[in-house]
Amino acid sequence: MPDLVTVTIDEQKVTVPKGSLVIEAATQIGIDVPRFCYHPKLSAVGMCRMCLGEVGMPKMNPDRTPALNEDGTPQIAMMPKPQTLCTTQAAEGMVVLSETPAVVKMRQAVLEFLLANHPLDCPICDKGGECMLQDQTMAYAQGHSRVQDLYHLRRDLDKDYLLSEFITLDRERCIQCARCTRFLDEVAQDPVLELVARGSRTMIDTMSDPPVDSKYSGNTIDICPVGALTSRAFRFRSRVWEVKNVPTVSMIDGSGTNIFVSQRNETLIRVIPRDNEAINECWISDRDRFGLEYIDNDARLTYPLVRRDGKLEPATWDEALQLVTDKIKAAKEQRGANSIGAVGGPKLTNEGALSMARLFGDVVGTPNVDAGWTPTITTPGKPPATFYEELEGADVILVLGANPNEELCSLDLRLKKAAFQRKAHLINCNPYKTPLDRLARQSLIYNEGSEVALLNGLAKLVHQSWTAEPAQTEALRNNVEGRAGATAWIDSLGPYSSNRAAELAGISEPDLRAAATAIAGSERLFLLVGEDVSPAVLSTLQNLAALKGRSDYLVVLHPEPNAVGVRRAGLAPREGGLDGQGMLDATFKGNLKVLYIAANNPLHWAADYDLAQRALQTAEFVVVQTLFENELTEHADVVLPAASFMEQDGTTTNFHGKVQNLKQVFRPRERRDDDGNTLSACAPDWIIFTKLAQLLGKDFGYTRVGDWTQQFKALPALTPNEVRFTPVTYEASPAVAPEGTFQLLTGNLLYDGGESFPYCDRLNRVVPEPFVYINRADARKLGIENLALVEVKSARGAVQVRAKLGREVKAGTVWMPRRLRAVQVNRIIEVDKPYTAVTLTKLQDAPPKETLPADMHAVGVGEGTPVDMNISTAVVP
Amino acid sequence: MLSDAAVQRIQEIVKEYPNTKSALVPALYVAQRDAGGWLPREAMVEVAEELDLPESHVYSVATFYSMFYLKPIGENVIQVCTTSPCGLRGANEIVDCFKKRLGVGLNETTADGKFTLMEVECLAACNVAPMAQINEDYYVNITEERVDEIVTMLGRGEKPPYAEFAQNLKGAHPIAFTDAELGIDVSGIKPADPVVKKEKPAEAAPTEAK
Ligand code: SF4
Ligand code: FES
Ligand code: FES
Repeated sequence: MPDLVTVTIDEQKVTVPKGSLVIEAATQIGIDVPRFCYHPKLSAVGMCRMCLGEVGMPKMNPDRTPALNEDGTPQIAMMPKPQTLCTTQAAEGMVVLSETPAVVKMRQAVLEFLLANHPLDCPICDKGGECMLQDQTMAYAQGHSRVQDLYHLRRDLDKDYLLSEFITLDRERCIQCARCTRFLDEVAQDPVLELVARGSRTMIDTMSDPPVDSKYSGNTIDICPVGALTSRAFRFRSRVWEVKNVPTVSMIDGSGTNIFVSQRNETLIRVIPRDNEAINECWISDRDRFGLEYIDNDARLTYPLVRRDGKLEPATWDEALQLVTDKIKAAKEQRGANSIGAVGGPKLTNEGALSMARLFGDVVGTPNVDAGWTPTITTPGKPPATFYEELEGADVILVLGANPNEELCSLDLRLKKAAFQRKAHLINCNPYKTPLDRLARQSLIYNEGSEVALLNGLAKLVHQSWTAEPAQTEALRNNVEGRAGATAWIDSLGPYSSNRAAELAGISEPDLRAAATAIAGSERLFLLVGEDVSPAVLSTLQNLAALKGRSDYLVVLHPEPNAVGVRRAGLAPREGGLDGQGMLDATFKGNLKVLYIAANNPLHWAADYDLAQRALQTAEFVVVQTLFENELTEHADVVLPAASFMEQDGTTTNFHGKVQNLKQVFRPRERRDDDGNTLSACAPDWIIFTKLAQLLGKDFGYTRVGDWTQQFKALPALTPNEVRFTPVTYEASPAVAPEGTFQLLTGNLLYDGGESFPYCDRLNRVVPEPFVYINRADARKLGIENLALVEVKSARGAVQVRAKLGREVKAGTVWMPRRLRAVQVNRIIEVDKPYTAVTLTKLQDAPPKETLPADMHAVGVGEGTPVDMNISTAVVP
Repeated sequence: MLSDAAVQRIQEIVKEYPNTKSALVPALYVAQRDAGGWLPREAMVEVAEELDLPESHVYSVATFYSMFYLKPIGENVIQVCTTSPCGLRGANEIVDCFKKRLGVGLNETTADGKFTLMEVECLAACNVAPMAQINEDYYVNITEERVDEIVTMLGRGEKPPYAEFAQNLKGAHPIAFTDAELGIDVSGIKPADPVVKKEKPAEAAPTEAK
C-alpha cells in the first residue's frame, strides 16, 4: 500500500502509516524511546533532545537504484548526526538504532545539561515516583556533572512560585520541554502560559488575569515530565505510591469524564485523569480535578434530621424513614396518591433514579414524578456510539444555544480539536459571544428568541440549494420525499427568505448564506444544541437534521451529569402527572401535600425563586435527601443524608447516552464515637428508596446495586430517530427592549459557587464576584466603567453586581450567569414574559485596581539572584 | 495608561505588517518609551489588547529581548557584552570597572537613578570588543579609562563624542519615528537588480571521482 512505510528499529521491522513519527513506530513494537517533550497529543517540537537516535536511509546508486551489499541486503547510509526520533518521520527502508553506545552517551550528556539546574529534592517532590526525569536519570545519568557549577542560573531561585490558585511552579525543576505551554495553546486553546526570557533563564510564566486562566490548567500538572508544576491542593499531602487510585467516573458535569480518585485512609488526596479515548482522552477539567473535595468535608450530613418543635434534630434512620412512610401513607389515604410529588435530580445515579421512579411511580402510585423544575428538551435520536470519533471527523458542526466552555468540558476540548486540528467548519450560534467564537468559522450572534426564524431561514436555503444543484439533489430528495410532514414543512418555509430570516435574527444575510452553503455541502454534519432552548427550536433543528439525513446527529447538550440517565430511569411525569414546575404550583395552591426532593434544589434551579420558596413554606411535609444542610433543608421536615457518587457503586449516563460504571472510592461518610464505633452513616440513594419501598409494603427483593443496574439496562435506551418533519412558525416577540431597558440574557457558569463549591477550598477561590456583562457602548452612555458596582433591576426585583464591559453582548442586551455565589437570576426573572427587561443603575465606582498578591509574579525575569557568569572561574574537570 | 499618541503610533505600525503578531516588538518599543522607559504590566496588557494577542505571549516576547525592561531603570542603561569574544578581550574586567565606578551590582540601579548596569549577550560587534551598548548607542573598544569618562560625561548629561548612532538618530531608536520623521523617502526605493546567474565555464572539467 502506498501510504504505509516499513522501518527497522533496533532490528525489528514495523509498518506504520506514512507520516508517522519514528517514536510512535517504536512505541508500537514496545521500544520505549526516552523522551520528555514529546507527547502524543501535542505537536512535536524537539525541545529536550532526549530521544536522540541514530538514523540511516538506504543508499542509492547514481542511477537511482538501491545500492546493495554483496549479500543482496540494501546498503544503509547512516546520517552523520543523531536525530530526534520525536520529530523524524518514518520513511520506507529507514533504519533506526535507538540504544547504541553512542546514543547512550549522548543521552548522558543531555541529562547532564538538563540536570544542571535541577535540584536534588526528589525526597520532598510530589512528582517523585511518577517522574520521567527521575526514571531517565536512573537509566542514563552518570552521577556527576561537569556543568552544574556553570549554568545554574535558576537552581537557587526561590521555590514554590505560585502560578495560579491551582498550580505552583518550582522554576529550578523545569526542563523547558514546553509541554505545558503547548497543551494550553493547542488543546485547551487558552494560550495563557508561555516560555519567558531566554537562555539559561528560560522558564514559564503567565500574565493572564486571573493567572493561568483556563478551565483545563490542571492537566499541565499531569503532563509536566518533572516536578516543576505541582498541584497546590496535593502539595506535600502524600507520596504517590501511598495512595490507592480508584477508577470511577466524575459526576461533576454531563461529559462522563473518566477519573482516578486517589484516596488514603478514607480521605481524598487528589483526582487525576483516566485515559479514555472515547470520552475525555487523557484530560480532565479543573472542575473535576479540584471540585470533588467536598466528599470528605466535615459538614457532610451523616445522620438523618427530623423536625421537632420547629427545629431539625438528629434522628436514627429507623425513626426518620418510619416518619416518612407514615406521612406518605397518611397523605395517600386522606387525599390520594396525587397529593404526593417527588422530584429527583441529575446528580442521582442510574440506580438511584430508577429506584426512586419505581418507589413513587409503582409503590406510592403518584404520577407526579420529575427530574427537574423546568421543562428541558432531550436528544430526539440515538447519537452514534463512537460519538467523539465521529465528531472529530465532522466537516460541519453547528452549535446552537450552548457554551461548552462553561457547561461540558470534554466536549469543549473535542470541539476545539475538531475546529483547530481537523479544520471542521464550526458554526457557533448564540445570543452572546462565547469562547468558541474564536475558533468558529462563523459565529452568528442572533437576537434571543429568534432561533426559529434563523433555523427556518437556514433550512430554506439548504433546501433551495438542492433544487439548484443537481449533484446534491438525489441524496437530499431521498431524505425528504415521502417522509411524514415533508410537503407541509417545505410550504411552511415560504416566508423565511434569507433576507427576512437574517433580519429577524439580527445577523447579516451573507453570514446566513455562508452557513447554509456549508451545511448544504456537508457530508458529516453535526448539530449540537443547548438544553435550554424551547421544544419548537428543537423541532426546527430536527427538520434541518432530517433534511440532511443526519437525524441521529442532533444531540442535546446537558451540562448536568446524569440528565439522560434519570429520564431513561423514568423520572418524568406519568400519565396526567405534574412536572416539577407544576408541582411547585400545586404545592403553593395547597393541592400537593408531600414533596420529596432528592439531589436537587428548587431554590437554585426553579425558574421562579419566589414560587419555590412559597411552595416550600406551604407544603405540609417536605423530605430532602441531600449531602449538606443548606438553604433548602431549612424548609425540610425530614432530611436524609445521601451518599455521593464516590461512595457507591453503580452506573451513570453521560450526555450522549454512554452508560459507564461508577466505583465506590470511600465508605459512606460516617459519624463515630470516641472508640471508633460507627454511630451512623449516610446511605446511597438506591438503598434509601429500596428501604422506603419495603416500609410501604413492597419488597423489590433487590439487595445489591447490581440488581438495579440490571433493571436499568433492560429499559429502552435512546432509540434511532423517526424521520419526520414538523412545520414550526416563528412567533415574533417584541424583541426590542423598551426605552432605557436592556434585555436580560442568562447562561451557565462553570464556577458558579453553588452547591459543593463552599466545600472545595481551592475551587471556591476562583469563583468570580457576581457580575453582569454590559456592552461597552451601552456602558459608556450610562457612565458605567468596568468593575463598577451596578444595580440590575427588573419589575420583580433587583440584584447588585459588578459591571464587566466587553464585546460579549450585543448593544441592548446584558448577560448574567444564572447563579453566581449568592446572586440568583431566578429572583428577578419574569417567568411569564418572553424576556426580562432590566434597568442598570451605577451604585459605586470601580474599586482601585488591585495589585496581585505579593507572592505572585513577584520575580520578574532578569531580577532573579544575580549570578556571576565568569567562565574563567569555573573548573572543568 | 498608554497615551493616545502611542496607541495611534501602534496602530500605524500594525498596518505595516502582515499580522499583529509581527508588529509586537515595535509596538512594545513604543509602549516602553511611552511608559517612561520600562514596561509595567498594564502597558503590556494594553499592547495585548491593542494587537489582540494573548497577554502571556506579549509577556513572553517582552522578556525575551534584553532591550525591554520589566522594572524601572535608570536614566542610562549600560549593557556590557560578556559573550566569549568580548570575554576574551576583558569584558568581565570592564563589568567590574563599571561596578566599582557606579557602586552597584548587575541589574541594579544607582541610588541617584542615573545608571543601571546589565550584562548582555553578543551584540554583533565582536570585531571591536570589548563593547557595551549604553541607551541606544554602541561604545566600542572600551578601556578602563573610558569607563570612567563615559560615566562622568553621561552623569553630566553629555554624550561622549565616540558614542555611535548618536548623531544620525537623535539618540532614539528608528522605530520610535515614522519614516517621514526620519527623512526616509520610501517612494523611490526600487527592488534590487536581479542576480545574473553565471554559466559554468566550459573548460572546468568535472572533478574526478576519488
Ligand atoms: S513546567 Fe514542566 S511541562 Fe512546563 S516546560 Fe517546564 S518541565 Fe515542561
Ligand atoms: S522527546 Fe524528542 S526532543 Fe524531546
Ligand atoms: S561577543 Fe561581544 S559583541 Fe559579539
